[in-house]
Amino acid sequence: MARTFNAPSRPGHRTVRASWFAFRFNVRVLAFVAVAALALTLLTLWAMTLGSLPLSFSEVMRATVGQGSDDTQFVVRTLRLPRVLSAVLIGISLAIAGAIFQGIARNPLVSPDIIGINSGATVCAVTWIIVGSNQALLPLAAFAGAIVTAAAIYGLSWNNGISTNRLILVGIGVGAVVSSGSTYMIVRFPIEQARPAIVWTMGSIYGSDWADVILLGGVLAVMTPLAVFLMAPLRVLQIGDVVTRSLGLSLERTRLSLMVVGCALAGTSVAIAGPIGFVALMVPHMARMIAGPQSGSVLLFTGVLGGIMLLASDVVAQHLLPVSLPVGVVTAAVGAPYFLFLLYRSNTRM
Amino acid sequence: MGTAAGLALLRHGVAQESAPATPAGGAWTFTDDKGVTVTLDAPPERLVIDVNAAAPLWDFGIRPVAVFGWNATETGDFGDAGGNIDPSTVEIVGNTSEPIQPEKVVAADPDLIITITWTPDDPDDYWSIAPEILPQVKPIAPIIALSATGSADVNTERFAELAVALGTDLSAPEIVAEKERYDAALAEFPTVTEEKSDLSVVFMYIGPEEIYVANAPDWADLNLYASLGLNIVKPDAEEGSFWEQLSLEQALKYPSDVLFNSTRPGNLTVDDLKEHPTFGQHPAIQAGQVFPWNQDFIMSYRGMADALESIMNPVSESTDATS
Amino acid sequence: MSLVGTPSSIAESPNDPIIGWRRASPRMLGLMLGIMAICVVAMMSLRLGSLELSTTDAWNGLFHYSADSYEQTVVRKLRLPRTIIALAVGGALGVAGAVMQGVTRNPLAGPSILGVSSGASFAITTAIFFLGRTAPGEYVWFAFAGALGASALVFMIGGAGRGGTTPIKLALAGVVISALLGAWTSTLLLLNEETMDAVRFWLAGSVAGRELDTLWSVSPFLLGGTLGCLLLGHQLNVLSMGDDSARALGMHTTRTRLIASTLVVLITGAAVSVAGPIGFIGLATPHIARSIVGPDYRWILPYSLIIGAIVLTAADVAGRLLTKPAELQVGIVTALVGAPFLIWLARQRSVAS
Repeated sequence: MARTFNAPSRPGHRTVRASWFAFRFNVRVLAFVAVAALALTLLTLWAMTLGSLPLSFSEVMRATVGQGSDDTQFVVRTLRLPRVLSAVLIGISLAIAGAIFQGIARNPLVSPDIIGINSGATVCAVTWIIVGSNQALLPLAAFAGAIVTAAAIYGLSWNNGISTNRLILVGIGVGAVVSSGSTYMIVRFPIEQARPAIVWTMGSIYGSDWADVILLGGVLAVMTPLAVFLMAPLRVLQIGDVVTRSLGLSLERTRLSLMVVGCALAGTSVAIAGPIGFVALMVPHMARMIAGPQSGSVLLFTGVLGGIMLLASDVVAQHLLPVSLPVGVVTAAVGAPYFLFLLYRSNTRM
Repeated sequence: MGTAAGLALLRHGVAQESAPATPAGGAWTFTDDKGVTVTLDAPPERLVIDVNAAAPLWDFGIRPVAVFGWNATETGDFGDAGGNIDPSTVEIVGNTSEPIQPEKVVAADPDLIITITWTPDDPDDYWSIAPEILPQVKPIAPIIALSATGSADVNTERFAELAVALGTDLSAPEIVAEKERYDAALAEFPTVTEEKSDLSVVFMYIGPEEIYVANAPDWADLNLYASLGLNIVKPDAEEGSFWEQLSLEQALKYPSDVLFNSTRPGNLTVDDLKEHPTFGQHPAIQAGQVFPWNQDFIMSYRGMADALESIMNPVSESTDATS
Repeated sequence: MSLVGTPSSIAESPNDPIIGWRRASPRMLGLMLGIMAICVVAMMSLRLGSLELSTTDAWNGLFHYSADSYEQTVVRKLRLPRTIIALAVGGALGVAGAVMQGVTRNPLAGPSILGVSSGASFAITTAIFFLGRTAPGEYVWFAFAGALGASALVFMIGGAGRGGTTPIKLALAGVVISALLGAWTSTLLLLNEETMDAVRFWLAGSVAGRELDTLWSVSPFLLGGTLGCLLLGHQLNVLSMGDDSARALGMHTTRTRLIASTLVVLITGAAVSVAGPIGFIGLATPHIARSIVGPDYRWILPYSLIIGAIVLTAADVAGRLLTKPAELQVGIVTALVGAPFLIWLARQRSVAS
């Protein structure tokens, strides 16, 4: 799929050209990305020092590279580092997935949950928690649920192509059926069995280990360039189906590819941490309010912003409250005030 | 909280450690209900225990430094399952959303971690220690699990064994008194059931919207009562499911002479039941023979003595209501 | 300017009232059929359930009640209240959903985006957390107050900042407030097991175990709100043409939206406080109605009322039969009953947004 946009250069943009692709990026937005990435790094380092065993920056650094006492190494390398990295990677994945789905559906209320992915993963996970045997396979069950649901929604929406409204309606229908399944599991069984399932649905990074980090990192490494790559035609998609078709772009293929990317990102995150809803829905809006409409560069900014948000939420959830809570419960509390501030300052143009 | 420098995390339970041999006490060993044998250089002093195991051990005089589990909420209320545990004297290293928190356990510096298990045959299934967190907990200290299924008298003796291994003196006066009460209850129970052998009993949880009937073979206490001759109604439930669920319309599916209603919060009171449109017609309720059942019984001499008496005494005063 | 369907081919004046009547009569017929369907569903709801009983029992339970018969007691004391509640709540949610979609012009809009469900859930959870659990009907006023409070907050925030209230800002404010309230609700659930045990049932949405008093106490809001909404048909038609066209026709769009939203909040708040959050009805019913009667809101609203009532009551009956001797809460079954239909509809034709 050769994709050479022979677009004239635009002020404030630079274009990178190779023989078979050209990618234009916005310098101003990349500056935002750099600043956000720096903030994320500092936040990560700070998060590593927090916990029941307070450690200094230098102790953390030394433990990471294999020096220091056994305890410190255990705490830093086995307990803290995987959790902090998982938080960052999940935040990035969810934010990008949210931006993708909002772009495909051209509806600002869309999140991967509307497309039923969260519900699909949840019902499989809840069922597995309550009646399944080997709990180590839980992420696999959740992932399978996400994929099957996404496939069902896409398949059911297909009627000589996909119209946005049909996708949304089918997503609502399938999502509702599927989440009624998880509600059923939760009320059918006595509280001892239902409780872990209920807690799972709140979304938490408890118990994440290096296997999770590697999986998340791998998926992100593959999916992010794809997403950025496909995002350029997305702005054209947002003009509307008729115009897009007349430009001869492969509308369905772009949409389908983006959906697969979004599903992979959201599905992996949900499989590992459960449904964390707020990030996918709100971070794209916040990014847009700061950096402008979605494009490849803004997508990167959205991702980094998502990482910051989720890591900040996990820090608050674990360390800054009298009672430690799952991260999914805190994302709204952390993100909402900032979002409302942005909403207040925004123009009428959204 | 310990400091990082002061802890020797992996000093416990690792045979190759070159620690000097302790002069008195020597090696400490215990085999739990999963068949796992734990050996330590010295009797463990710092214990981190799940609430469901800490409660019976507390009655035997064992004091943990920290507790964990779903019901170890930071608000300090462990519910009925907490028994006599004094929340202000223990650290909390787990809660509802994170039943065991490895870093807090490290800070508590345990010699031994104790919990219960509902599946003694499964080597990786510990209550409150989910499989995904087990690899992060195992390096901290050895884990011992006692069974919570089967029969409550067997389990109580196992808790007594563990308590003795941890340093309890069973000849202490409070424990001796409780054991006498327990033995007396165990002896008297069959005589009551023999005398009232025509009475049927059902154990339920009745809430405003949902009704559950307990499946006796799945419960350690109900198993014990059945083996002592109590005539417990058997619902249509599969083995291992603990309950059968009914709707409000099905209130009369299991008529019985006596009804024990679980004391879990949210249940309907006796007055509510008498005025209930459907339950008001249940024979046990009409006869006024509805009694509380502590679902979160504690498997110590004191706890089981309480439990046995709470069943035996009401039954001994009940009469036939179904014919 | 005629808003009733498309003009027929022969040269007739679109304003001819007789033509309007002829076009309207199939829809009138449909309305009559719908009312009959409601009666059928209601009778099924009295006759069927997790307990087997005969039609004679059902008849006697209604008209010749004697308290000695267990079956008759079940019919009169359990099934009759829940049938009435299901019909009322279903109809109310259907109308509210239709109005919401008309006001926001967004097919994803259900009454819950104004924060009603999360406000009620938070209020109920707080009440159970501090006061302990009792029968679901005891907390009706808490739930209602929570619903209204949350919506008021959504309106305040959605209208803040430059530009006043736009549908998008309102929807986003609704999502944020719902997320916040949901977070606080989850926190309370985690702190207290009794609360978690009780609230999970309320959150599933159910019409069982509730006395009719619960319904009567909020019925002024339900009735008044529904009647008010039914009168909004013409306004919604005008709004659906776009804000600019509407204003050109002399409509005060902000005020109309505000009135419509207030009515929706009253209806949904009342419904949710009685039966808990039942999300699917408000979202799907308008689409089903629209596919039957077309884009005219003067018809969509009464059809939504009827379809909502039928779907919810049918779902309740199904819930009683599917897992005997236990029951499925109606909030669980609603999606199972309505979603396949919605999906089939979506595949048939392109749905106007």
